Amino acid sequence: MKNKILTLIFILYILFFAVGSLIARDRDFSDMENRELADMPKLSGKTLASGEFFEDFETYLSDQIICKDFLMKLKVSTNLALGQTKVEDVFFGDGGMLIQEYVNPYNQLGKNIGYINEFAEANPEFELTWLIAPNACLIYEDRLPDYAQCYNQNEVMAYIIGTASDNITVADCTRELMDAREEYIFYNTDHHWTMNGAYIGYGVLCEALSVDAFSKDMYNVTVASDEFLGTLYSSAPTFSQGEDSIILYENPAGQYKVEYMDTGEVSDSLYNYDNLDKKDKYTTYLDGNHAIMKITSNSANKEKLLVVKDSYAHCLLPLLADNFSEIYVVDLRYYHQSVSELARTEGIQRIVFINNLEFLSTDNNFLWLE
Amino acid sequence: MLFSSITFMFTFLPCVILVYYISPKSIRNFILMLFSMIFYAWGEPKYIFVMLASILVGYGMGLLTDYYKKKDRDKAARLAMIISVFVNLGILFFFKYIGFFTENLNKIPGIELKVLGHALPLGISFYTFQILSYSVDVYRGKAKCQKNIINLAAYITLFPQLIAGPIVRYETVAGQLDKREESFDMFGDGVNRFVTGLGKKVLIANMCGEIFNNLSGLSASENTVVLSWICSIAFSLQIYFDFSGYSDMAIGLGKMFGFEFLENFDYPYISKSITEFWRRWHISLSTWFRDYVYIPLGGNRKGKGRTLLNIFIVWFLTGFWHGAEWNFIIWGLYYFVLLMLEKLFLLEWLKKAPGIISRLYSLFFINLGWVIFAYDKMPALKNAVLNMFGGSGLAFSNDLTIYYLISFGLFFVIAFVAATPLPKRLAAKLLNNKNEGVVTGLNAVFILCVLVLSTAFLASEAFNPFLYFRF
Repeated sequence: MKNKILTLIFILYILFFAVGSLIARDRDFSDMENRELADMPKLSGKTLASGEFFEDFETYLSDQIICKDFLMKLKVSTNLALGQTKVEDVFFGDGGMLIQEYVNPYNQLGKNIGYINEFAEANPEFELTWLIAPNACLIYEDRLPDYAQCYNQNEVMAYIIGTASDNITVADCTRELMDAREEYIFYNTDHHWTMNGAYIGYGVLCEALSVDAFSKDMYNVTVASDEFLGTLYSSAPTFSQGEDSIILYENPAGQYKVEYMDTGEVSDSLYNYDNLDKKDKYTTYLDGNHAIMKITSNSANKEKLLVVKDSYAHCLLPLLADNFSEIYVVDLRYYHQSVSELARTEGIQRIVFINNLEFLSTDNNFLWLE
Repeated sequence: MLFSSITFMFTFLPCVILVYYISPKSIRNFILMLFSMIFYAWGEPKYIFVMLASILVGYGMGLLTDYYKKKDRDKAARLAMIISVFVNLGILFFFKYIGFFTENLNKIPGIELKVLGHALPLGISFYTFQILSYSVDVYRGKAKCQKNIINLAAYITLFPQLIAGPIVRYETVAGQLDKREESFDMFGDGVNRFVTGLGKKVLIANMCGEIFNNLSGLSASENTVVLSWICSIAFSLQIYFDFSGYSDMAIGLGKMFGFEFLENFDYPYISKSITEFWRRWHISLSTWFRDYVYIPLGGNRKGKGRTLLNIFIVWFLTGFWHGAEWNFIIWGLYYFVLLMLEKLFLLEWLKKAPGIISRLYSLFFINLGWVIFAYDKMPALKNAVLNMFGGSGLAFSNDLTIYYLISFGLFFVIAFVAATPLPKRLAAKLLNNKNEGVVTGLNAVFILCVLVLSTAFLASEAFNPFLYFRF
C-alpha cells in the first residue's frame, strides 16, 4: 500500500511539471527576474551535432517550467534558512536591504581609467568633469551581514582620483552621501541610487561645473510608486521582500523636450510614467537605457553639455536639465561612434562623465570612447 | 543527459516510464535500449557509434567464445575473448589516454609526436568495463553467452548506470534481462532511492561544489589556513554526495524498471581504516579490479614479491582509471602506500585504538587524498597542500573565514550527519510504526519535500556540475 502511494505521488509529480510546463503558454519575459526567457531552441543537424541544442533545451525548460517564480523564491529562502546571507552576488543586509557585492576591481578598472585618460589627453580642448558615485556597499557598509566584506570603495576612489589625468576634474560625492545616509538615498532592492541620492550627486556635480544647483524646494517631490522590486531582488527573490518607492522631482516651471535619437521617439517629459506599471520601474527616469538622447529645456543658461554616462545618471539628468538648455547624453554600451566628433559637431565645450564605481569596475565598453 | 536536470526529470523520465509500461513484456528490453540510446545521444550524439562498435565486438566475440567453448577448443575461445578485451581496451586507450601518452612522450628529447586531443566519450570507462566483464565471464563460464543482441545492448546501454556507474556486472543482471517482475513494491522502493540520490546530488553535492569552486579560486591575500581546510572538506563532501547520489539514482531507476543492482557505496566516511574505506567506496570498481586484474595476475598466491607487484598494478590502474593525468596516478599510488602500511602494522594498531582516533586518521588521509584528486595541475596541487599545512605563510583565519563558517556551518553539520548511517537508522525507527498510514504519510512528506526543493534548485539554474567527464 505504502509503495503504491509513493509510486502515485512520484508519477503525478513528474507529470505535473511535464504536462503543466507544456500546457502553460511560454512566457517571453519574466517580470520577477527582469529578463527575457529562452525560446524553444531550433532543431537542426548543426545544433544537434554540436550539442548546442541540448544545452539550449535545458535552459528553455528551466526558464519555462511551471511555477518558476515560486521555485526561485523557495530556493533563495532555503539558502537563507540555512544561515547563508549571500545569494548570487547579493548580500541580505540589515533592515531588509539587498546590497550588491563589490570585489577587487583593478583588472577592468585600470583599463577603464586608461581609456578615459587617453580621451582626455587626445582632446585637450574640452573641459572634462567626472562625477563618480560609490555604491550602497560603501555607504551602508554597516548593514552588511556580520563579517561579510566588500572591497573598500574609499581606497578605489582614492586610486581613481590619484590616477585620473590632470585634464579631468573628478567630483567625488562619497562624503555628501555619507552625511545623508539616514535619508532614503539607495534602494533596498535595486543596485541604483534613488532620486534623493542623485540629488546629492547633482549638488556635487554643479559645484564642480561652477553652476548653481537648484534648491530642493523648487521641486514637487512625489512618490510615484511604492511597489518597486529592483534588479537585486530579481537575482535573489524571496517571499517577504519589502518594496521600494520611486521618487520623482518635478520642476513645475520646467519645459522639456527629450529626443531619444536611437529610437526616434520624442517626449515632452523627463519621465516615462507608463513604466511605473512595469516591473523595472527605474526605467521611468528618461525611459531607461538609450544609446543617445537630447534633452532640451527652458533653462536660462543656454550652454550646451555632453554627458557620457551609466544608468546612475538616469535620475540625475532630470535635475541637470534645469541648468543647461541642451544636453546630449550617450551611453557607451550602445553608442559606438566618436564622442569627440559629436561634441565638435554640436559645438559643445563641456563633457561630463557620470559613473558609479560598480559600473566603472566591471563594464568593458569604455574602449569605444574616442 | 544528466539525472539531475529538468530535461531528464520532466521530459525523458515520464516518457520512458509511460512507453515502457504500456509496451508488452516481450519488447521492453528493446524499449529500454532505444531510450538509453536517446539518453546517451543527448549531448553526445557523435560518440554513440563508438559505444555501438564496442557492443558489437563484445557481442560477436561472446558468440565465438561460446561456440569454441562448446567444441572444447579452449585456445580459440580464449582468443575470441582476448580480441574483445584488446579491441575494447584499445578504444578506451585511444579516446582517453592517447593524448596523455603523446604529451608525456614528447617531453623526452628527440620525440615529437602529434598530440591527439579529442573529447572523451561520455561514460566510456564505465561501459568498457562492463563489456570486459561480460567477455571474461562468458569465457570463464560464469555467465551464459547472450544470443540476443538487443538484450546485450540493453544491458550495456541501460541508462540508469550508463554514464556514472555503478559498474553492473553482466552476471548480476543476466537473469533479470531475460525475466524480471516489475511491481509497485519495487517501483516505490525505487522512488525512495531515486529521490534520496537526487537530494544528495542537487541539495548537498552541488552546494559543496560551489563552495569548493569559490574557495579554490581565492587569491593568497584572501585565503587562510582554515579556509583551505574548508575547501578540501567541501570537495570531499561533494565527491561523496555526488557520486553516491548518482549511484542511488541509478539503483532507484533500475528498480523502477524491475532491475536489482548491487550497492556501490556503504557510508565510506565512517571507516576506521583506509582498508575499510576501500571496501565501502565505489564497491563496483574495487571488486572489478579485484576479480578482473588482481586475481588473474595471481593475487596473493605467487609469493610476497609478486603479491606486492599485483597490488601496485591494481592501484596504479585504479588511479589512472579516474583520469588521464598524473595527479590521478599519484592518488592511486598514495592509496597503495597507505594500504601497504596498514597491511604491515598499522591495521593492528588501529584495531586497538579508540574509534575516534581510527576514524579521524581515516578521514584525514581520505581528505588529503581528495586534495590530490581535485587538482590536476601540479603547481595548484602543491599550493593547496602547502596552504593547508601552513607552508605558504597564510593567515590562520580572517573575517572571510568567519563569514564562511557562519554561512555554511549549519549546512556542513547537515552534510556530515547525512554522510553517516544516522538518518537511515532514524528513518527505520520512524517507519517501524505499526500504523501504516503514519508510515506512508511520513515517507510521502519526505519524498515531496526533497522533490520540490530539488526542483527549485534545478529551476534556479544553481551550480550543477558533472564530475565524471574524465572517468
